[in-house]
Amino acid sequence: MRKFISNKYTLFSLGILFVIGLWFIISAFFDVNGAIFPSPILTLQSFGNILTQGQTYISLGFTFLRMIIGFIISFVLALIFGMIAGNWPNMYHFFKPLMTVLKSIPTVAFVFVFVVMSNAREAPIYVVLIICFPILYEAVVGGFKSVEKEVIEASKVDGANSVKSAFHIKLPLAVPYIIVGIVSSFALSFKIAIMAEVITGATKNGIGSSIHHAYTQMEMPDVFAYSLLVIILMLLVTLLEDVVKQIAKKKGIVIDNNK
Amino acid sequence: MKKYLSLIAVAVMLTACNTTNTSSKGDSSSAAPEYDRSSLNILTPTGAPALAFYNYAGNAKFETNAAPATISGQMAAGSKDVIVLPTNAGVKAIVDNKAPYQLAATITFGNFYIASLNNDDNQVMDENDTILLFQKNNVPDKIFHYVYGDQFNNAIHYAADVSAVAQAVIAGKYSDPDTGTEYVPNYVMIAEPALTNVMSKKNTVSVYADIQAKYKEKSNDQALFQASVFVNKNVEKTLATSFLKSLEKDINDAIAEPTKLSTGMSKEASAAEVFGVAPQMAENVLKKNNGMGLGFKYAKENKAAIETFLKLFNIEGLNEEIYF
Repeated sequence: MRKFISNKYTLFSLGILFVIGLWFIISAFFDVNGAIFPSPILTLQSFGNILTQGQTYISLGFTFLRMIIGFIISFVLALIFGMIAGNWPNMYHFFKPLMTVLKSIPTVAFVFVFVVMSNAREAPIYVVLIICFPILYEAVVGGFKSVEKEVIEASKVDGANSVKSAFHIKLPLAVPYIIVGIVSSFALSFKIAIMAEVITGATKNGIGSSIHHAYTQMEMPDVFAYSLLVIILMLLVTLLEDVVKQIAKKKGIVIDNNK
Repeated sequence: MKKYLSLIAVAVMLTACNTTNTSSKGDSSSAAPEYDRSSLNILTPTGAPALAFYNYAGNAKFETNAAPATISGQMAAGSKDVIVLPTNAGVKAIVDNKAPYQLAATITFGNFYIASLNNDDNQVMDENDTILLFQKNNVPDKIFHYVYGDQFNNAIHYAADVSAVAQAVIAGKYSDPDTGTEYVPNYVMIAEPALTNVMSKKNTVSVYADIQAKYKEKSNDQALFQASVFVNKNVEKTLATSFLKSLEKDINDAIAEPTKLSTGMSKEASAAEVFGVAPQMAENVLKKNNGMGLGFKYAKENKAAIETFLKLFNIEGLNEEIYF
């Protein structure tokens, strides 16, 4: 019995039941006519409904496209800046104020600037870029810094200069760190893209836009249903993240999430 | 390395193909008498003003936005050929931010109503009731105070937006986000189409007062010049004129035959999100004595009424150049 209770899958399932139970209780106390905090039953009915609508998948696709464009650009920039900072420690200190600024500025401030600089539909791309860039940058730098000194010394003996050593030795050795950084910030970037879609007020093809529209139409069960859809997708990403971390662990890489 | 370079190339291409430009300057010289609806970039808030553009559904150059604050930002940047905004907000962007636009015409003339939850014993709105307004110090609040004065100030509470008011009506209670105190509203100020939506969900709700009618009584029969069309100064005049004529015809057609509105809107796959109102709902509200307040009046011919409206926001002494 004790083994059954301590099994991680059992605990995970109990955790889900706990969340649903909590949801029922909050709904019972605060909701009126599904207008404030719809129950899991109302939400599941709406969830079934939105899954049958083709527009849901189009919206999901566009949100994902915006997120992936922002994410790819931020990854490329993080790779360039991270390689420079990881390879030349002085540059790490040079970039530090920039990274601190990017990590500290409230996201909402970026959103309004990007709406004016581009438009409401493109702004989420830039917001994802700005938020994910410092996280991915730290992952790249962390990977470079994890390369043992002996390996670097040996490459110098073999005649590799610092640029060659960065591309042919440090970068391949940093790849597991970078992959974990990518997986960790992936779920975050999806949430950011949705939030940016809501704030920018973009009205076409986006899960954030669908959530905002459902709210303005007072269809709170739909708001919860779209959120449930995102939660399920994020759960899948989290599972992927766990798999990657387990592989990394097998290879002897310890990942510090709070880095 | 090739892998990384190709990633950069793909990312750059994907963003480059999404860029928007004001395209009118080049096309304007060849403006045909019959207006081509894809000639100008148009940006409008969702809701009543967007409905005027029902014939633009599916048009790549027509864009709507659910956050008017971001539209004001784009107006200041001069990035669109035509922008629709609440008249006060658009004029403010021109005056304060030197936005390169001119006020051309007004297309919505108020969609505000006082709804009663029919839970007031004497059935008369007075200072002993709880009245819920929205957007403190903004258009609805200013109009309410213009119409009713300060007599209800002690009874008034504020919600953030019209959706929060609608939510309060359906729930039958409102929780003040600042104090956490819960109120049971007796009367609410609400806008169409939220009013029709709420009434379809809660049949005890009824219309207590038509704010537009009250505004007319108070302002010597002047209409409420709520949302207006602002045309970029860079747009060629003949093109802008033919656009306005085409828009006037579209609006008048829809008022005369509301089915045209829903038919036009339905050409857009996600019409409800783009316009902020589902096509059938928009048609129903339009049939209800033009509940959205759609119409078309040139600004230059209605300066007195516009100035009365702008006076509510302490905007006075407008330069003649502001009018198209």
